[in-house]
Amino acid sequence: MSKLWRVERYRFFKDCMIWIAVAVMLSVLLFLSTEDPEMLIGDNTLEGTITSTLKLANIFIALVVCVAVAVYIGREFKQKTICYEVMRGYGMWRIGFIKTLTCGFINAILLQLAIWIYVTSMDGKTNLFSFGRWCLMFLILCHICTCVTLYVILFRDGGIGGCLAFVRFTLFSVMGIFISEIILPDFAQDIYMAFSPMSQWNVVINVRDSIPMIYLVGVPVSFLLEYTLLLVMVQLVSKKKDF
Amino acid sequence: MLTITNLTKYYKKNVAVNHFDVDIKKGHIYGFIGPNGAGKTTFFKMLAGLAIPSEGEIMVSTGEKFEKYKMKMSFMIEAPYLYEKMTAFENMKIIGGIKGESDDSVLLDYLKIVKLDQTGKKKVKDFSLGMKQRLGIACALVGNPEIIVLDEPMNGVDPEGIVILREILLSLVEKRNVTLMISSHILSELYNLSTDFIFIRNGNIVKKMTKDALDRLTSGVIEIGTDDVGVFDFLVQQYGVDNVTQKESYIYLTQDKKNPTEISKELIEKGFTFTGIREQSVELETYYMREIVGGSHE
Repeated sequence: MSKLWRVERYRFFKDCMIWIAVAVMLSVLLFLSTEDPEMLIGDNTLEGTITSTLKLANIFIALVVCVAVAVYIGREFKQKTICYEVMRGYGMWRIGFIKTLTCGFINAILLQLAIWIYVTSMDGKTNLFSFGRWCLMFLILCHICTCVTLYVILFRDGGIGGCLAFVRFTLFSVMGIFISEIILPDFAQDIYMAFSPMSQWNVVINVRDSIPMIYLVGVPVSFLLEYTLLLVMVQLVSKKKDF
Repeated sequence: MLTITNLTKYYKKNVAVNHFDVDIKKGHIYGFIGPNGAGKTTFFKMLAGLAIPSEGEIMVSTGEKFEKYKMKMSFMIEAPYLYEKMTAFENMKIIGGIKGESDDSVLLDYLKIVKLDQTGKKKVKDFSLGMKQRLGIACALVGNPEIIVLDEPMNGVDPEGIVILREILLSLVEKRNVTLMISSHILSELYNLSTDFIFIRNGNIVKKMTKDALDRLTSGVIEIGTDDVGVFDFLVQQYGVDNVTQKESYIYLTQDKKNPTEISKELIEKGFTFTGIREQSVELETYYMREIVGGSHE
């Protein structure tokens, strides 16, 4: 597996797609910060500006990640270069795991770095978010990036996988919040929100309020659950579907 | 090396590969011949792990599991799978890396073998079809495989490239005792390369034969080399105009009643002169058209 990891790292950093994604993300953050925070959250302090920007950026993060990963991994299926790893005898779960290390974790680190650059350029200091909040933000970014990767691998198509992942992390989340408000009792609604990356993000970046315990559990658990489930599905599908 | 037993692939109601039994021996070159859609590529894909067999098994003579043994095999199936936005060397670095080869000088050597070491920063998407094919073959050579499976490796390769490829493959067999499994529609080249032929039609193995066995087959055509103008008229008189043709200094007689010795005796008795007389062996293409393609119309 170490050979695969070395090769994947080489390819990842050679590809311009990820650098384009980071640059786009940074540009989006800087652009969004020019939006009127007074209008958005009734708070035109610097803190308010940063928080409102990052709140708006939630959807853009999902979009940028979905597009970048869909193109990057989708190309491997279109060009069939992923077949080399299959022909070498690596199981799809192993291949998926290694790709989530680059497209998932490294991607999340780079996006976190873009956000950090944005926050420090606005704030001049790095203490707006505590270390704990940065860690939770990182986990949420990992959740989105790794699972988008696995959606694309599961469907073996950048377009379908990317679109489905985008729907899951944006529309599905938003719809789920509305539906849960209508049909679920309060405690169940809280649990649902704590397991939804979109609402997790909004809670974590809101420095005015402390983070409820349920979110401290929900962030890592939801990530691990969805990641494991998708990895298992990738392996199961590979036993049934030819290349 | 490999014993393939009862390997079968169904796609819904269609049988793409129907109970293939093949023994792969070390140092042999197996030529797989068949029309488009016969099942050659599907068979190779099952070996490569890109298609899941419906039935059958593949056993390794050493007793190890085939999934583990596959690491000693190399494949190029349908077309070379390449990273289009990368250079030849970058492709080798990635594909070589997957196979465990990280030494840049070794990867460059493989590129030299297929004459792609001077492509520099040119991206693969700007390569010609022949160059892509050669790069795919270079990728297949990486890692010192024991068995190399090449699905139509000569597609789009120019005549010089075909000669280079033939030399590379023959040298691999000779020096490293590599086993090759090749499919191609260029039968003349396949004949030059292969030691064994496997004929496939409609998902079935129709015939398996060694090159020696093919060479021993006779066509029923006797070739007579002569400048004597009377020979042609004599043979037409004896055997009928439909059975005698002439091309430059050679006359071709189609009949199955007499052997070359008897024909030559006839010509000598009549006072005709000739430079040589022999029974033509069957060409691979002729055998294929007659036995395999011709058989599909039965």
